[in-house]
Amino acid sequence: MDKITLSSMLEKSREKRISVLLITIALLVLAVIPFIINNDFTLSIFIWIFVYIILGSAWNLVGGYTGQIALAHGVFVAIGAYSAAVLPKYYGITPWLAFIIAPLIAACVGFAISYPTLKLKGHYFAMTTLAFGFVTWKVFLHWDYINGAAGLNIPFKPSFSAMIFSTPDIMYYLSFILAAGTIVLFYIIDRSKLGMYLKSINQDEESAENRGINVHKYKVYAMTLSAAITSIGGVIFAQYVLFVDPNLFMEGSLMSIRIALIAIVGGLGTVLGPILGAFVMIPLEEYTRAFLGGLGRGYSLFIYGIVIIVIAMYWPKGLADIIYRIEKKIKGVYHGRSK
Amino acid sequence: MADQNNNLSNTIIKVQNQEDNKILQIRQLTKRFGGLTALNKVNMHIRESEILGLIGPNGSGKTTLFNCVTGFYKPDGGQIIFRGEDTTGKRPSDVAKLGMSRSFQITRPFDELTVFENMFISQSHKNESIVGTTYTRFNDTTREKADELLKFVEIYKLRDHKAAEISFGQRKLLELACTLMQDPEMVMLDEPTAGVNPTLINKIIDDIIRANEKFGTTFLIIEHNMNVIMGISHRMYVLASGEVLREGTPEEVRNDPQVLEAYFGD
Repeated sequence: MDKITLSSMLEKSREKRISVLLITIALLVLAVIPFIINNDFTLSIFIWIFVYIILGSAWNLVGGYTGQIALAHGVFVAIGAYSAAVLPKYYGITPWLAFIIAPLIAACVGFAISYPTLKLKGHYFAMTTLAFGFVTWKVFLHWDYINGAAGLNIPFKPSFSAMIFSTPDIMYYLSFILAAGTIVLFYIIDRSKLGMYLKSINQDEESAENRGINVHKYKVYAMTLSAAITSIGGVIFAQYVLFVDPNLFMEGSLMSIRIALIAIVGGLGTVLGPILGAFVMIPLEEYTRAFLGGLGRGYSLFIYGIVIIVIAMYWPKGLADIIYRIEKKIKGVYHGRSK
Repeated sequence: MADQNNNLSNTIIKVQNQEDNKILQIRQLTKRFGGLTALNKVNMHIRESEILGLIGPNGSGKTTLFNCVTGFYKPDGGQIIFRGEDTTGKRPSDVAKLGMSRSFQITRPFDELTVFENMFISQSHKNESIVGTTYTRFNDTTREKADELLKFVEIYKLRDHKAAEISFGQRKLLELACTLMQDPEMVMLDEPTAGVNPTLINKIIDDIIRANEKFGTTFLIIEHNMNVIMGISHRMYVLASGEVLREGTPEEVRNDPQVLEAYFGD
């Protein structure tokens, strides 16, 4: 059974071919969507899905793989968004540069807050990050440099250097490419040594430490990397909404919780999880808000809550688990035949 | 010819060194938990390629000693010198990188990972850059080594099973294979045969002796099974109430009236 036979190789490559085929179809469909759909609202939902794939995947590295529930990722989104807003406004620098500067700042902040707090375990880490999110929110509200609670407007003057486009389809492709890049990055990490070390830390920190893995260093590294990638989502956010204020990112840590939920609902510690999570949660949230929002603010959140409860009850390992179960069944059919 | 001479002189030096080459020295090690003194000025040493037995009644401080040596506990006093380096108070991962590997009394493999992946994680992490791990995968050398060791402890056929799915005894063997995976200079085993059936006990003993002979690995073993520990140890220490009661060959320890008293009472 352990020997690699020709037939087992064929089966493997057939499985591989199927997944390559599925990915190609998905990419093609997503690539032509702006040509088919002229509805700006629908396109905006896709853009939000792509942004949240970036955010959810980045959070997944800390919350899913490493198992450290961080609740301050809204801060890193804010760092990205404010970098994109501040650079052209105050310094006349193109916001494209924010793709480099924001991750650097976010990485420094992520490192600075996680170095001491990741010495704490379990709930205490979640609580300190939550507190950090609230404190930063208050600081941003009273920070004159970034115009405090009033926020910053980005004037709508479409040009490539300003990263502002007259039609939403360019933004669509930009966020699509960045999301695809993020997925590739996390696909690599999932199969790298780092991915496996983080999974081992999640399961048993002492045992990982015993095997020569410096648990604290790896956790801080995961958080730093996660913060940097999260800020990239923030840059897109600012350039698409063309407005930033502290409440958007940090009010009541709502965004941090949404980011975490996307990874949790989708499936923790998997590449597929945040993708599925974003594709389910974002349209759900946007459509319920659009159609039920008129009835009063609570209704959309009510439906949103029910869906989360249902998913938590029936698929506690997340939506990705459904896919993996189907995959296993298909594999089982193949192996059943070879036996 | 010159090579042969060189080899010969190297061997002589090695033998000479073995006489006083202490891979691990524990000096005046003290550990307290509140009012309880778990270890009281313990002095101990292990020579290279030695199999050292550590016995003592329950609560005598054996596992505490392991935890202090591997870095899980910070000692309240004393000094630990491993391979010429002072490792007192160092992180467990740093101690592990110096070539010390340890098994837990209750096995602790990563349940959600496969047997094979457990072996991967247990490889030596010396000279590994943290950023480099982001994009590197395990290479073929590691793969081959993991396979070889899994064959060595005869659980190769389970390599693709999750660690949660294999039996208690097989987990013990996996743990042993994992400790050997780290290229260790010294292996510390905490009750490797506890709760294991007699056939498997023989196999574990056999594996330890083979590893000691094949790779020259030093072993420090805690064991309650007297037949096992007397059979494989070159030398032994007896701990009682956090102090070294006796040191000597298995023969000497077996016949010591103080040891008998500590174990069986008056």
